[in-house]
Amino acid sequence: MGKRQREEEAELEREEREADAHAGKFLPSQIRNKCKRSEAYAKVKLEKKKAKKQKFKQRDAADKEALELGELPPPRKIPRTIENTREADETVAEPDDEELQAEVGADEFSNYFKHDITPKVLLTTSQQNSVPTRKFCQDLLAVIPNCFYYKRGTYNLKQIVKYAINREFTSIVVINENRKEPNGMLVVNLPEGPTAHFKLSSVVLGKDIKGHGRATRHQPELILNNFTTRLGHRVGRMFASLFPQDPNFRGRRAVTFHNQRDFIFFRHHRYIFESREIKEKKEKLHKADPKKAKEKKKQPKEEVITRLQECGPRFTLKMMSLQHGTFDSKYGEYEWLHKPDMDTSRRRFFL
Amino acid sequence: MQHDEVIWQVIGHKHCSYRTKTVTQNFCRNEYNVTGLCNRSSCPLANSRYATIKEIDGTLYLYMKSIERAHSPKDLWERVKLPRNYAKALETIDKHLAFWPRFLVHKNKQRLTKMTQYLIRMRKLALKVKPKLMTMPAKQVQREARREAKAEIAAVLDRSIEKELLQRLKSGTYGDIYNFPMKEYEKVLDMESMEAADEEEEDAAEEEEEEEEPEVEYVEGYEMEDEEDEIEDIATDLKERYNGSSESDSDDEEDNPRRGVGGKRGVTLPSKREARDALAIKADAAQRKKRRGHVEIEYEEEQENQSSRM
Amino acid sequence: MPRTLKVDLPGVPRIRAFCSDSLGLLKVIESEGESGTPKVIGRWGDPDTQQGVLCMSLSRDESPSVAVARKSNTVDVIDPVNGLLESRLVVPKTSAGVESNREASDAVCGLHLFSEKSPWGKAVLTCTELGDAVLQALPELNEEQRPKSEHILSRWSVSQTGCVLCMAVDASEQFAVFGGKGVEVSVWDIKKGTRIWNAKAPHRDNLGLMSPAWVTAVTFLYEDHRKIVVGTGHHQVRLYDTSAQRRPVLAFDYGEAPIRSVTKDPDGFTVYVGTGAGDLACFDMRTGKLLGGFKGKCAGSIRSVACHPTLPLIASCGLDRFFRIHNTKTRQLLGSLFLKQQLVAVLFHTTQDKTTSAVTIAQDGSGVQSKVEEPMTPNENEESVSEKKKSKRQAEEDYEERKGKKIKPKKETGEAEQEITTNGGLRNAESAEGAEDEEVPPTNVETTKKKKKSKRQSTKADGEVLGKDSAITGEKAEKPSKRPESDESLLTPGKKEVKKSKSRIQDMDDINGAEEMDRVELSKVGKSGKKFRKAK
Repeated sequence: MGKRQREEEAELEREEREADAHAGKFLPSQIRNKCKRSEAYAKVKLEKKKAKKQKFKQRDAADKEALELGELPPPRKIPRTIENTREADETVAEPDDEELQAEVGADEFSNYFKHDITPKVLLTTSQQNSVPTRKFCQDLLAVIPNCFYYKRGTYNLKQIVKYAINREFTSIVVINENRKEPNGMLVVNLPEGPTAHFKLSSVVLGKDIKGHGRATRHQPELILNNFTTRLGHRVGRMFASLFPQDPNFRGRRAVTFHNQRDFIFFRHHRYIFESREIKEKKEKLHKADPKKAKEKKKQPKEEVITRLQECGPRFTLKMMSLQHGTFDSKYGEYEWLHKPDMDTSRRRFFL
Repeated sequence: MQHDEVIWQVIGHKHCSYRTKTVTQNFCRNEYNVTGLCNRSSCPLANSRYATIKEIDGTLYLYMKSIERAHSPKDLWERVKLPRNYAKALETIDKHLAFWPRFLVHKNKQRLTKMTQYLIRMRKLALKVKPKLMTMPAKQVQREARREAKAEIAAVLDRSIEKELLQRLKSGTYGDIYNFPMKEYEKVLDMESMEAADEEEEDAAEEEEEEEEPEVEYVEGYEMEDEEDEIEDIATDLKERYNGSSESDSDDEEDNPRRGVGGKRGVTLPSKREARDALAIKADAAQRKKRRGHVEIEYEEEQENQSSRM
Repeated sequence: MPRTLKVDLPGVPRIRAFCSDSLGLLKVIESEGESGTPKVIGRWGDPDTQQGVLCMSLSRDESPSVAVARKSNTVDVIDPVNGLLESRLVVPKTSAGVESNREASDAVCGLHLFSEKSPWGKAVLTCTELGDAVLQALPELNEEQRPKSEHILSRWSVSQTGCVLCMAVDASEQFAVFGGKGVEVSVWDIKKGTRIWNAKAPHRDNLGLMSPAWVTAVTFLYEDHRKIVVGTGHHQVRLYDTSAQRRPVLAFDYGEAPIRSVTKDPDGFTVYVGTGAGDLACFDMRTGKLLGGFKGKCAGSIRSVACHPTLPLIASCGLDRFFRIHNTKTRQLLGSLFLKQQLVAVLFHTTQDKTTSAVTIAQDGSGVQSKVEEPMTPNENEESVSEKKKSKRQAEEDYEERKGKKIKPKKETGEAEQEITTNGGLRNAESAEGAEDEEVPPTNVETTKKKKKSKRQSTKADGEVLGKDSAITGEKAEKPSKRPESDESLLTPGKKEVKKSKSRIQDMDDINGAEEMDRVELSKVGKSGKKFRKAK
C-alpha cells in the first residue's frame, strides 16, 4: 500500500511539474548550475515572502476599513493544521453511542467509576535502575494517590502481577529505563485488565521546573483531553483508573493527560481562579459590533481566569501496545499493537 | 611407525594452522582437542591415541582415535553416544577409556562435566522469560522527537488546561467553593470561543505576561479574603446572582456543543466524566445553589421579620 | 505536498456475513454491488456483557441456522435471515467435582451446529473449557423449562486435566477434534463418544526440553477427516495426519504471538492463520510453505477467520474491532468496517445455487431475503412472528423459483428486501417475470414503494421511448435489489452502461435517479435497526 501511495504521489508531483512547464512557468529546478540555481531559488523565496507580507497588509487594511465603517471585519480564514487535516477515522467514539455505553458500563474499569474500588497502585522499575529513574519514581509517588513503591529485585513481571493481585493492588506501573534514563512505562490493570505499554520521553522532574510548586496530598482532579477514538477512550479510562474518582476540589490540584497527535502529555498543576481586568485589545473589536458595544457598557471590566502553577513531573507518553489481559509479552494477545505500517501517513493518528 | 614426535616437532615448534597465539598462552582451535590448549599431550594431531568429547545438538559423544586406524582417516574417529545421566556417562567413559593414559581420561571427564553444566544452564535460560531487546534506529528516534516537539507546540497545554478548568467552573462542578459571579465570566467565555482563531495571535503577548505571574507563591489566605469580600456583597447582588445562575445553566447547554472552534477536538471524555463522576457533586451543587438562594431569601425574610418584630 | 493521500479500498463483491462480539450482539454485514463497501445492516441482540458471545457456528445445509454460544452458558440458535430465535439450549454444568486449582471454567469453548442431514438432525455439540463435550438436540422454543437430560444425546469428557480451548467438526459431521492448554489434539467419534485418535507431543528439542501442549486453534482440512491443522500458543502451525502417525507430519513457526485462528480453504490444502499480534497469513499445507501475509493494518489479535465457500474472499475479525475482507488470490484488503466491539467470531452467510457446480459440502444457505433488524425476542408480537414466518415461506418459494430460473419479487411485506447471490448464479436476464412486478401493487403502503412503482413504470416508458429491448426494460422493472445490475455486469458489460444512461434520462424526469431509488429501498430500516449509510 505504501509503495502504491508513494508512486501515486510521485506521479502527481510529476504531473504538476509538467503542467507548470507547459504553462511556461520557469522553475529554478530546471537550472543545472548549482550556484545559479540557488540564487534563482532565493529570489523565488523572497518573492513569496513579499507576497505573503502584502497579503497580510491587505488583510489588516481591510479589517481597519471595516471597523471604521462600523461593520464586522471580514471573517478570518481557518488555518490548515494537522489536526484539521487529520485522516478521517471511523473509530471515533461518539458519546451517545449505545454500544459504547453498554460496553463501558461493564468493562474492566467500570468498577472504578462506580466508586466500588479505590485504586491502589504498585510502582516499580525495571531490574536495572539508576538514580534518575528512582527520582522520577519519587515524583510519581507524590502525584498518584495511594501509590506504593517497591524495589524491583529479580522478580519476573508475571510473578509481580501474581503477588500484586494477592495483595489487592489494582494497577501496576513499571518504569523501564535505558542507559540511566527512564524510557518506557507499562501500566497493568489488575486482576485481568489490559496492559498498556508506552514510550516515555521528555521526563522533567518537578524540581527542575522553573517556578514549580509543591503539591498537597489532596486528591487531584483528572483532565483527559482529546481522547477521541475508541482506543483513545479506552486508554483514557485506563489512566483514570489510576486515580481515585472523588477529587477534592478544594485542593485545587489537577493532573492532565493531554493527547495531541498520539503523544500523551502529562502535566501536574495547582490552579487558582482569579478575576482580573479585561484588557483593552478585546474592546476594540467589540466596538464594531453594535450589539456587543451595548453590552460592553453594562459589563464590568473583570473576567475570571485560571492561573496554573506546575508541580511534579512532566513527561510525554506514546503508546506502543495495548494487550488484552495482564502482562505476557510472549504469549499475549494484543488489542492494539503499533506496527511500522502505521507510520506511513503523517495525518493518521490512533488515539 | 609412530611418528608423533616428528609431527609435534613440526607443528608444535614451527607452524600449526590450528594454533592461536596470545601473550600468555597458546590455544588450539582443532575441533577434536580436549583441553583447547596447544600442548604436546593435548594435540590431537600429534597423538595417535586420543579421546575427546563433542556436543552435537544437545547430545554428548565420546570420540576416540587409535593408532590401528591411523592409515584410514575416514574411519579414524570412533564415536560413542553418552547417556544423558551424568553418572552413567562417567562410567561409560571409564569403560571405554580403561587402560588409557590417565591424563586423557581425566581431561575427558573434566570436559564432560563442563559440557553438562553449560547444557543445564542453557535449559534454564530457555525456560526463563528474558526481556526482549529492541533496536531503536536513530532515524526513528529523531523523527519521534521532532514530532513530539511539534505536537507539544500544537497542544498549547497551559491554555487548554486553563480552558478546561474554566469550563468546569462554569458548568458548576465545583459547586459552592468559588463565588465568582457567573454572568460576567460566562460572557467572557462566549467571547473567547468566538474569537478563538484570533486569539492565538493576539494573546501571544498576553500569555507571556501570564507566564510571569505564576512565579508568585500561593498564599492560602488569599482566597479566604476574596470570599469574605464577596460574602459582604451577597446582599447587594442577590437577585442578579440568582438570575445569573439560572441563565448560566441554560447557557451551559448551548455552549456545550460549541467547543474548541480552533480545531481542537471535543472534550467528550471530561464531559462524560462530569456527567457521571460529578453527578453527585453537581446534584449537591444544584441543591446548594437552591439552598443558597433559599437561604438568601430567608435572610431577607429574617431581616424583614426582625424589622417587623422590631 | 503533505502525505494525506488515502488509498481507497477496492470494494467487496456481494457478500453477507455475521460478526459476533463480546457484548452479545450479532451484526449482519452486507455489501452490495460488485465493489461496494461492507456495511452493517442489522444488529441482533441487546448489548449485555453477560450475554457475550464466545463461539458461533453456521449449520451446513440449504437453509442454515446460526448457533451462538454465550457467556451465560446458553446456546441460541438464530434464523440468519431475520434474526429470530429458533431455539435456546442450556449448556449443562460439569457436575463432577472439579479440582480447585484447575484454570479452566465452564465457559463454552467449542460449538458446532449440525445440519439436518446429520444422523441427529438439528443438534448442537458444545464443549466447555473443562472438557465436557455434550451433544444435545435442539428443543422447541417454548419449552425452555424442560430438563436438559432429555435432550442430551451424547456426552463425554475430553480431558480431565488442562483446559480445552478449541474444537472443530469435520465435513462428514462424524468426528470432532479437540485441543487446548495441556490437552493434546484428539479426535473423537461423536456418535459413540469415544476417542479414535490422539496426538503425541513432538520430540524434545535439542536441549531436551519439551514444550507443553497448548493448542489454540484447530480445523480439519477440507473434506478430509484425517488431516488436521492446528495452531499452538507457541506460534507454531502443525499438520497432523491421523492415518499416518501420532506426531505432527509438518510443523513450522509463524509470527511471535499465539495463533488464535485457523481456517481451511475450500481448495483442500490452503490454510489461513491469524495470530495474537494481528498477523494473517496463508499457508500451503502440502509443503508448509508460506504463500503470503495479508497486510491490512490489523493492529489487534485476529480472533476469527472465515473463508467464503465460492468467492476468493476471506473475512477476519478481532480485538481491534474491525471486520476486514481480503482477496485470497491477491491478498489485497478489499474492505474494512469498524464494529465498535471486541469481535469474537465471523461467518459468511451464503446461498448455494444448485444450477452451478457448486461445492458439495460448502457452507451454503438460501437466505434469499434479509429482513433487517428484528431483535431476538421470541415471545413478542405474534403478528410479527407470523409475518416473518410468511416471509420465510416466501423466501423458500422464491428460492425454488429461482432454481427454475425465474425471478419472483416479494409482494407482501414492506420490509427491505435484498437478494443475495453468488457470482456464479445464472439468472435469466430476460425473464418476463419482471413485467409482472409493476402490475402488483405492494400491500403495505409506503411512499417509497409507491414511488418505486411509478419509477418502474416510468422506466418502462423510457425504455419504450428509447426503443430498447423489452428484456432490458423487464430487468429494469425488477425489484429493488441490485441483482439485475450484477447479472448485467456478469453477462454483458455493455448493458450496465445502458442502465447508466437510463438513469440519466430518469434524472430528467425525477430528481432522484433510479440509483437513488434503489438506495432508498435498500436503506429501509427495520423497526429498531441500525441504519446503514447510503452506498455512494
